[in-house]
Amino acid sequence: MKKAPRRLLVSCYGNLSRGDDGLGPRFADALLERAPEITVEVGYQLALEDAATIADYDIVVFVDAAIDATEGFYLRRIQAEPKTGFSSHSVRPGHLLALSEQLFDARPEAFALGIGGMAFGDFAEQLSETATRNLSAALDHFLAWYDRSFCSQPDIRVSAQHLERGVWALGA
Amino acid sequence: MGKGAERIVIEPVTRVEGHGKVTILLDEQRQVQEARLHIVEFRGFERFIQGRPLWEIPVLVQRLCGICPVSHHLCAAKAIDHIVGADQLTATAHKMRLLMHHGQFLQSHALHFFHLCSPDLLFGFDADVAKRNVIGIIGAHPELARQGVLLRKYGQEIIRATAGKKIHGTGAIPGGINKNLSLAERDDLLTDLEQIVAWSRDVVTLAKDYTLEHLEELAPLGSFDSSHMAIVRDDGAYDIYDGRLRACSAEGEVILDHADNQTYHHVLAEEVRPWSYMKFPFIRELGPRDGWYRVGPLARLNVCDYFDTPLAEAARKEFAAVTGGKPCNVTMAYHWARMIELLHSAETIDQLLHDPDLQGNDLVVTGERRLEGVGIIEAPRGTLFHHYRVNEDDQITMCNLIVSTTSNNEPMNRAVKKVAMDHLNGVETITEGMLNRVEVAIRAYDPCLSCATHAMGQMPLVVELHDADGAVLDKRVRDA
Repeated sequence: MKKAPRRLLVSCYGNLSRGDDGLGPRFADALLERAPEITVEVGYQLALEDAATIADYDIVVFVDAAIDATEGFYLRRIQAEPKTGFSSHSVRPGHLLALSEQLFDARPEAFALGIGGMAFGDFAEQLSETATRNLSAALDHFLAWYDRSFCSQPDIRVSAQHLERGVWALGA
Repeated sequence: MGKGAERIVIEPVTRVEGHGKVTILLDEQRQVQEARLHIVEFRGFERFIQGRPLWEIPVLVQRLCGICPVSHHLCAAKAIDHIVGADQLTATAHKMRLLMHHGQFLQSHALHFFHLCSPDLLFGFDADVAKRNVIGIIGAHPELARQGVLLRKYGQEIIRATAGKKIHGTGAIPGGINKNLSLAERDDLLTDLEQIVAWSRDVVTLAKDYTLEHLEELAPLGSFDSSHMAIVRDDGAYDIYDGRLRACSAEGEVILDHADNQTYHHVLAEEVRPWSYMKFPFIRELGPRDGWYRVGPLARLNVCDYFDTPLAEAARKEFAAVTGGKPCNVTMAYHWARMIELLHSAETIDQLLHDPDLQGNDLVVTGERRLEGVGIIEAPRGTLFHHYRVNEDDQITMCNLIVSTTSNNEPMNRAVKKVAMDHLNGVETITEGMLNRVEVAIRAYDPCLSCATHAMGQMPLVVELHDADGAVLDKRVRDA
């Protein structure tokens, strides 16, 4: 029996003008240099309509700056998090997963890649030294994870259509 | 609860963009003495911009806010156009910017109606707060909630195609635009367009029917007579991208018309009050006491003569008929007006996507250099002003912004006071529904408080009751 293709989306967000808060978008730039076939969304922040976007994928990795990444970064599985109200200034990945399920009957597997930052308070367009190191380590870890999960399996195939759209497909 | 004077605090106001609080002071007879909307954020963006190169400004100013970055992007670009002497853009550049702007109106208005204000309208102001939220809408009206998300997504895709990115794009540059719309992009956007127009049409009907069916309850809610201001084309047509200032009184008399954008400060001034970070703009000729005015969807429908798209024009005529062609001063009519604008944007997107000028390659013009420029544009929430001066090295030396929510500062304060006096005066027990009416009146304006003061909001709701000495008598906390 043919397996359904697995579609991966990496959703990176943050504010490039707020120092280490820009870790998400900078991760996106670095990731696309090393793995341009991956579908990457970049935003200032998550937004409501992203619930419709993630509904089209099987696996979603949200990449954001973190203040609780004690080991430099973390990659954690996350779950839907229903919320009674929201502001478009503050939408969390779990809220999107809940909306995606409620509105589009979609339940993508989801992970949070949190990259440790230190300096968020000031207007600054550079990352701190710590954040730069953490970004590099997180990228290596993610690519290893991606390679194990998507590229190293013997039954991998990449359809022309999916390649064009930057989506890897796996299946027998 | 104490029987002396009391101060009621609603902080932050929920289901608006940004962070504000409301204070209502009751005297010993429980009569409203004072009611104010306080803006508790401060960013100081105008100062931050000084010294930056002018070509960077249309991109940089988008960081004022993640909610309506396109408005700041385009308004700054218009001001910088003037500085670089680009007085007439190419057809491709003009129409690409117009398409971007209507994409933003579509996404912004959809978000507000479907997800911020619809819980009040569909469940009622006194409904259980546990139900009166977006999850309640999803449960009771899932198709409406889905349409809201997809309308917003469509608007964001328009922005992505014209600006390069959904948030903080780079499309508009001094003197023009940096890309056209490819045929592939156009065809992608055409795929869902028919559905988008149909949904937009349906939601106008929903807003109209709701307003007319509940007019008795809605008409007094936070309402008052006021002046209204927006830009219109020289022939009076509604236009959100280009035009000149027109203001009318509550009765429809013209206060100003065809005001020159570059000298807006000759007709408008701004007042600072010590209890708010937001300024209070007013029409100079009328002075600070009488010169305040409303902006945004209601004001735009009141000051324009017509829409140039058929469905929105038919809807405008129905809207105007309710007040016999005179300006509508019902605050809650903002919602109906906003949905007529959403329909107009959907229709305009339809027209533009069928226009071959969008595939043109003549993207940028230049002209005689100036040292100062003003851009005025209609943002989703109202008229937006960007004013810059530069030095010979192309660095910004002065920046003044009047953002839409700032112009609605006085009207929102009046709306808060009106609701407080109508619903809280002499009342022994203040209910959540009464306090929600205060927020409902503010939400009608779709304020972006972060944008208006220029910071990131914290959004839990805290309601505190204070006695005359400032002691907290009661406190409720709820998640936003």
